[in-house]
Amino acid sequence: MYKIGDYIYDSDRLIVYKDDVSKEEIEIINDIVEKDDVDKAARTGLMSLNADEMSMDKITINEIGICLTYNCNLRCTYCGFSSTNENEDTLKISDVEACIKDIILKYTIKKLITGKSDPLHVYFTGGGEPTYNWKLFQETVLLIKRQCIRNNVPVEIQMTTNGMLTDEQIDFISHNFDGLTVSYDGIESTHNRNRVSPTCRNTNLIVEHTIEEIARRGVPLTIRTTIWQQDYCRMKEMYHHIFSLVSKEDDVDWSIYPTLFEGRAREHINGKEEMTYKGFLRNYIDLIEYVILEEGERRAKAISASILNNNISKIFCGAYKKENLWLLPNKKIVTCIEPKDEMVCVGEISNGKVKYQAKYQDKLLKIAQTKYLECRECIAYRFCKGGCPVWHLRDSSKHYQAPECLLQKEYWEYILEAVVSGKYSFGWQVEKMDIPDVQHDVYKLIHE
Amino acid sequence: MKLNDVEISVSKYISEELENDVVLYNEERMKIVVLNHTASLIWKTIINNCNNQRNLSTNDIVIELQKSYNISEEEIKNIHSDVNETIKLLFQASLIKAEN
Repeated sequence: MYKIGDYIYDSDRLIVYKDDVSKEEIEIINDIVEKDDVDKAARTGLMSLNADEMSMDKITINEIGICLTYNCNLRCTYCGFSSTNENEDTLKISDVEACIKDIILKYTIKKLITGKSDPLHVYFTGGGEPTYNWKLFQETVLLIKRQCIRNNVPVEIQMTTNGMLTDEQIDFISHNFDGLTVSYDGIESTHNRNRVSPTCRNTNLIVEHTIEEIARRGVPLTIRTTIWQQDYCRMKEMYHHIFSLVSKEDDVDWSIYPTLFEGRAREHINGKEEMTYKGFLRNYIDLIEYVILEEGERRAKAISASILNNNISKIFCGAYKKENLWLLPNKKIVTCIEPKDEMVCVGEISNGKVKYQAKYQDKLLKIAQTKYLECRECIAYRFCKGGCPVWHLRDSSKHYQAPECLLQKEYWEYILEAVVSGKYSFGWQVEKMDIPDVQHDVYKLIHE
Repeated sequence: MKLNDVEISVSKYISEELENDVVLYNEERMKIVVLNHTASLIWKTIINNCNNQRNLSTNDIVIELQKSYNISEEEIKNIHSDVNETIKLLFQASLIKAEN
């Protein structure tokens, strides 16, 4: 139970009521309104597993992420992988071929068992710039498409790129990709300061051209902006500039991210920032309210901060489910790329074949299980369930807390306050419940 | 239909053909079998003969394989054991069953 102004929020039942409800009425409410059963499924799925003895028994893989290289042509000031051009690990086309054949086989088995044939999702990202070795990138994309066509597997290919692309490269990507995320830091000055090239002074010009061309060609596009704390106050300026690059009809979203406490960003955050993320939410909410006033809710819905989870969560981290694996430049297959040097390896490409480990330890699962129990008393619990385990693998710092522990909590305090006071609440609403013998109004929290 | 003098029937199954493999799913037993190209030819030969109610032996299947591949006389002996291994696998996965 949490007090929000004059209201009580019951996290187990996802209901809100006035704080002057009598004890007797609360008992009636608790008897009639059942606890949400999402928890039960989470408990059986998460808590029954032994993190010390996991096995790669999964056949239902829905997505494969491919990280071709750790190298990059930019030296972004907040790069989580601290990428340069000196890493020697790189995948070969034969490694990708072995991996994709294995995934296609798993996809086909799943299709026979379930009768479903949803597209296989292939995602290029992680670490370096996917297009860094253009020839390898091109060959890989064509190989995947060819293999999927030959084996009757519908596929959707997406990528996150730094957008440092030529027209020829944009052509290739437009023809072969179903969606693209381009990193662009909002306005010229912040972009050029953050996304530094050893060879090119104004990277913004090239990236803006890429954004314009990709949007013009109708490829669904997400523009991703990473913001230092000092620039949180410039979100509105960024909004105007970003949406001036594309037309209103284009399929373009804007995703905003605060810089995270990792890689190159750590030194800067420790030296120059207040408590990490402080002020992010306030500026983000100001931005959304401003956009609604200027252009209505439709445009506001094209803007997101994906670090803020906006759903009731069964389990925040699904890495242990092994449904979305990653192939790395060193030929290892892992459950998630975000833990960087503490990734959970489930297999590797060896002698042209995929070999999965019979048993492995899953550090992420162990943390997820711990946080699932530890975080129960938090107001944001129903929405983050302990959050992303990665943050709890890292060093602690006086400037730093796990994003969920600060941002997610702050966000839900805002949402709950907003729904009872009628302010903008990111799609969340309260719906009046009819409960006999209770004089006070009781509201169910729902998402539109 | 008889396979190597044993009366057999084929279980209910669904299949998907990949570029080099065939994936079979025995729905009753919920078992998956992945056959490589050669094994899939053996499977198809059994199915065809079963549909036409024609008896079949390992030798007949080897002859079918010889038509598909250029197999030397020396290799024939190995092919015999491969065919028998595949037949054993299909029995184990209950894709084919001996009728009593």
